Amino acid sequence: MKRHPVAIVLPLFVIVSCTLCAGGELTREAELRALREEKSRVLAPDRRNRIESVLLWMQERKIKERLETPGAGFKGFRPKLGGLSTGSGFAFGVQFDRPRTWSDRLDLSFSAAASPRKYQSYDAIFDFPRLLHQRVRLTASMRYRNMPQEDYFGLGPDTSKGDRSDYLYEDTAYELAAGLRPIPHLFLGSRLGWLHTNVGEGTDRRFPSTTSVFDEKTAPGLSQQADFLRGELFAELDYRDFAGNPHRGAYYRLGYAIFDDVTLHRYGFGRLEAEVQQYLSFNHGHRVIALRFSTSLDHPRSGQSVPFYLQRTLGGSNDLRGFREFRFRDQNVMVINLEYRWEAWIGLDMALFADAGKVFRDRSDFDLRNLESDVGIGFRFNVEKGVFWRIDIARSREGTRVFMKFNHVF
Amino acid sequence: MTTLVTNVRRRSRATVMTLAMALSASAAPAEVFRSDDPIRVDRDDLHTPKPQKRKINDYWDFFENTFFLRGDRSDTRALNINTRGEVPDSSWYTNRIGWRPMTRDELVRGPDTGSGPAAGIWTVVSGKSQGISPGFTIADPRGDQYFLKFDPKSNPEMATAAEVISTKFFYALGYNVPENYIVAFHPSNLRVDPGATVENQLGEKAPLTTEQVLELLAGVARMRDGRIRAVASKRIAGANLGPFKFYGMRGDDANDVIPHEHRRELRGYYVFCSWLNHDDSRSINTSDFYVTSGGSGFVKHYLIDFGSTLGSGSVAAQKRRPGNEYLWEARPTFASISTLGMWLRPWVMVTYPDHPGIGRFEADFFQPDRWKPEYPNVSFSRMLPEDAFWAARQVMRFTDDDVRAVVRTGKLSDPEAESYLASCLIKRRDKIGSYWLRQISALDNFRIESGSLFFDNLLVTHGFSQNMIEQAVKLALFDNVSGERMDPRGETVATGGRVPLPSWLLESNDGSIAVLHLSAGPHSVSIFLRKTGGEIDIVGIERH
Repeated sequence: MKRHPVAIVLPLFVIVSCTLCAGGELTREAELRALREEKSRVLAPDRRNRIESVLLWMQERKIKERLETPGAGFKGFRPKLGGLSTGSGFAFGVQFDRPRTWSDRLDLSFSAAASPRKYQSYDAIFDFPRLLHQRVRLTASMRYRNMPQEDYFGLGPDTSKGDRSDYLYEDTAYELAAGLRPIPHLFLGSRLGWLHTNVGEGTDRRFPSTTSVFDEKTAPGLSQQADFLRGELFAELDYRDFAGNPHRGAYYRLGYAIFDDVTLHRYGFGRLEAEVQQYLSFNHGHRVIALRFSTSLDHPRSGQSVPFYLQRTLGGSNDLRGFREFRFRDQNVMVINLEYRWEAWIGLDMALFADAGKVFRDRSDFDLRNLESDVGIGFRFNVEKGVFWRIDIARSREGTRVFMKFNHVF
Repeated sequence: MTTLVTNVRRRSRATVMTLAMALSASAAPAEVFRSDDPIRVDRDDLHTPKPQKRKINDYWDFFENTFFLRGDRSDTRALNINTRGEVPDSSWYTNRIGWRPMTRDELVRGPDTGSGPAAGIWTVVSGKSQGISPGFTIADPRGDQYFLKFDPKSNPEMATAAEVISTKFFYALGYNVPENYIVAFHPSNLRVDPGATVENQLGEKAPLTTEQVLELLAGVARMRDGRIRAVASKRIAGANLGPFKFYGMRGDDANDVIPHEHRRELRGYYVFCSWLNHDDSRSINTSDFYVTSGGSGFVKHYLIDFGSTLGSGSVAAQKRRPGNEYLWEARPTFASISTLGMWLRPWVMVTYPDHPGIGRFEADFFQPDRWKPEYPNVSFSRMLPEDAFWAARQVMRFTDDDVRAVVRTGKLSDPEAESYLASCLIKRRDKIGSYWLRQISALDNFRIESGSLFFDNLLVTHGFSQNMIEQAVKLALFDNVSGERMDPRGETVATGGRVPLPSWLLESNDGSIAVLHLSAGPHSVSIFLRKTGGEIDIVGIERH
């Protein structure tokens, strides 16, 4: 039992004082010396409580660092925690990293994860991020995903919440990517890859399977799935102070991708994507106005269509937060997010936000009319360079939604 | 009258009575003033076996100091002071500017016993590549070891200047601190010892390579001529036992018999830290060392790591919050949440001039009683007005020129920055004096001369007040056994800082003690005068 310091000093003092006083005058120095001699007979190292002992044990064994550092962990293996994709639920898995191999050129990474909803993901990444004085990056990757409860409400902006169905989506992707950073803040990238897709019956028993409710007309690509040769060129200009928790600066991205249906020749299309993020900081960064505009415009090849499972969606924790994930889907998407953020505490930023966006088929509908919208409030727990936990509460015409995510929205 | 350790008795009478009854009834009661009072030195260098090395977890330290009430919470006078309210020299503290004026040379030299690492090739013997302040240890041609710490690229000279300047101040204020030297070297002056190791972020030791040293140096500030500026911190003699806590006592140190939260030099440390904006004044930046001499060993207590003082945050300019708000405070957080960010913390809008070599440091917004360290400190929370007075009095002993001289030891290349830093310290010093000297009786420098008691009013001495206020004086005899004031011997008035001593005292027998109680307004001070060997000396001072 840890003794209160007074419980040690006080009786020692009294015993010592009285003992010495019995012998005559007691000097201050003698009194103190006797006190110390008395203590020297009962010396004992300080005892720690359990919490402190555990924290010190973790500190000495670098548990936190082992979990966070690629290549660390236990013989290179680390737990992988977090959602695999939107709607997958919390996933658990394992990651194996071998950074800086092959004379410091190559970072290897392998991971496998699964969630209670039976979502699965496996990937292998061979990354050369530090070529030519860190100006060039080459990456080869393989990824397999199995997502058995993807939601589908139909195409277009006029779908109903009650039309919810689910389907199984499975893909395997092989990809080569190359990137160049010619000047600071500017990144030019390209990708070339093979995408094998498969769609099947959804496993969420609460809702009918998409395969039984929709058909090829209302869900292009439902009857047969293609393999794609995919290529992309993109450019990013990033002036944000911290990408994971930006307070100032801007981010711009423009990209064009081609999905060439090499097996069925029915679902080939091109995709133009653009995103602008702008951050205006006030009061020395304690208040931020954050604005994002994002759009994706698909144009199918002549006589072909964009498969529903590759179309962009709107709804969920990263865009239209007042609606559930995948609520709206079509060939074209645009979304605007506006946030007023402020620092409530060094580890907590809050936000008031408004989202607006729509999906549409015709390019002529690329305007600000007939937007779906929501408003909400957010709590973002962070360290300086990144948000590690976000709780957003948003309200739209379809009700109130609460999201808990381990990333920032933008 | 409360003195060294006497408070222990007075604080818990029930416990004392219980224990006293169990002991010999013939024991004579101790006197309030002993024959050796006031002691100048607390001999806490009694041999003690080497204590166990202590480790502190940062997260737990924050958590327990923020959310738990640690230490003894009684509102007691400091327990380690002598009968005059001074802190005796000990393994914790050495009176310097507190007791005598220091020469400019002494202030500028500080703890330094030499001139730093000898010129020539420095051998890197170990590295520290992780943590907030990476660096490495070198051995100079003499074999002396120093730990080198650097400046961030964003703020050249900032951290190194802050470290050295604050070291000099804390040394003058009485604390044990390491020798810190500003050095400049070219990487080509370094050689890595073949046996040198570096600990990576996983705690694994691996051989330290030249490439790793160069990689570390590539990330720090350089001077215009290509050399690298650093602070060379000399290895402290003794075995490192880890940090001390600001409450309780080390159970395996026989000399540690005063709860730390009741040590005046740790309570008053708050005032010094507020002056120098040492927000990182927590256990992690202290260190106990076991020193041995002739087969005997004891623990000596140091303050270390001043890179996060003044305007420096070690790896960047100090942020706006440190010094103004704890890491966690409920009230401003909920105020911000409930007003949707409309309410801004006042310190957010403080402006700082652009001096990269200083970081963020100012004096206009600073309020001595509102300053806050990173998170609550038990010793700070036990500080009483008398503790603050003791500290503020010392801060006021630095003249403007003293401050400028110490600031010059930081070797800032920008004269404007240097001048700004000195002016801030002077302004903060004056704010500290003006505030804390008013919280209790400001009478000080008591001395007996030519049959009179003379004293100063520090508020007048330092220009915070125009006139020496007349003091009402009550005289009485003091019973050194019972501690009671007896037999009132009249009243008088002290004007111009002088009270003639009464004849009955001058003619009294040796051992007689008189108490003069001086009061004006809400504050008063009791002076205890004892006749010893025919002379009158001041044996005790008690402020209210």
